[in-house]
Amino acid sequence: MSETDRIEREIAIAAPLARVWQLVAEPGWWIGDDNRSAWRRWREGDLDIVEEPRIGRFPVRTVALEPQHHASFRWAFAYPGERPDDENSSLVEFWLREHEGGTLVRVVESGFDALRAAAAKRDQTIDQAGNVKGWGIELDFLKADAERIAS
Amino acid sequence: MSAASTDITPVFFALADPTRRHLLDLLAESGFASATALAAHVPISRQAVLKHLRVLEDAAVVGHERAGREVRYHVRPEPLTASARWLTDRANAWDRRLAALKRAAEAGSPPRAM
Repeated sequence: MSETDRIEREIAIAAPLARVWQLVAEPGWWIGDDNRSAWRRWREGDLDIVEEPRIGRFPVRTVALEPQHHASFRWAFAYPGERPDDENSSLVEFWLREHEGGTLVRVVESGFDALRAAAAKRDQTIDQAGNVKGWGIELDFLKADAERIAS
Repeated sequence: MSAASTDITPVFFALADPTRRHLLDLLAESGFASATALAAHVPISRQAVLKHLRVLEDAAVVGHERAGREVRYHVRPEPLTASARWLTDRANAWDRRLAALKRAAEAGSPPRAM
């Protein structure tokens, strides 16, 4: 069911590879949309914290940086404020290459299947403890996230 | 979007389990199948199959009808379309972010200035 696990997009940019890399290598640059007047970023240990008042605070873990070629990060997009791990976050990968005098950027975001499975497990754990009946508490993240990206 | 997003939570729960995804694939292939017929294709009991089918029915991705003494299940595609839409929306969000990256790179300014 890999078609539910990842998304992939690409764009051609009329700017030098070094310039695009400089922007792409910045952890969490993609968080928030056009208006970045209130956008803040700072470092805490091995994480970069990006704060966008309208959508929340997102710790971003840098997974790999291969200069001018590949950058990958993890962020818990559905759980604002949480440190990203394998069960609460997606992996965002950027691949750069020179293309017709400019730069081609490919983004792959993956890990949604594991995220859903872990969210379902969280729900079951809560269920057995008798605190919450049925699903929906943790899985509301998908709804919240859908509304956030649609806004 | 909000109308669709209210419905996808149980869909994602239903699809989070590999056995349920497999049952759904089997149903999609055969069109209609009973729990007994499905159980022949998976390493779990008919009772367990029924339990999974109930979750799939709660998410409205599976429906059933009676044919004599047999209950036959089938796939209902509409909620699956809604969950596919979530992925599409997410991909569209990347289109917007990449467009912002392009504007920043081509203008030579930092992205936060956009």
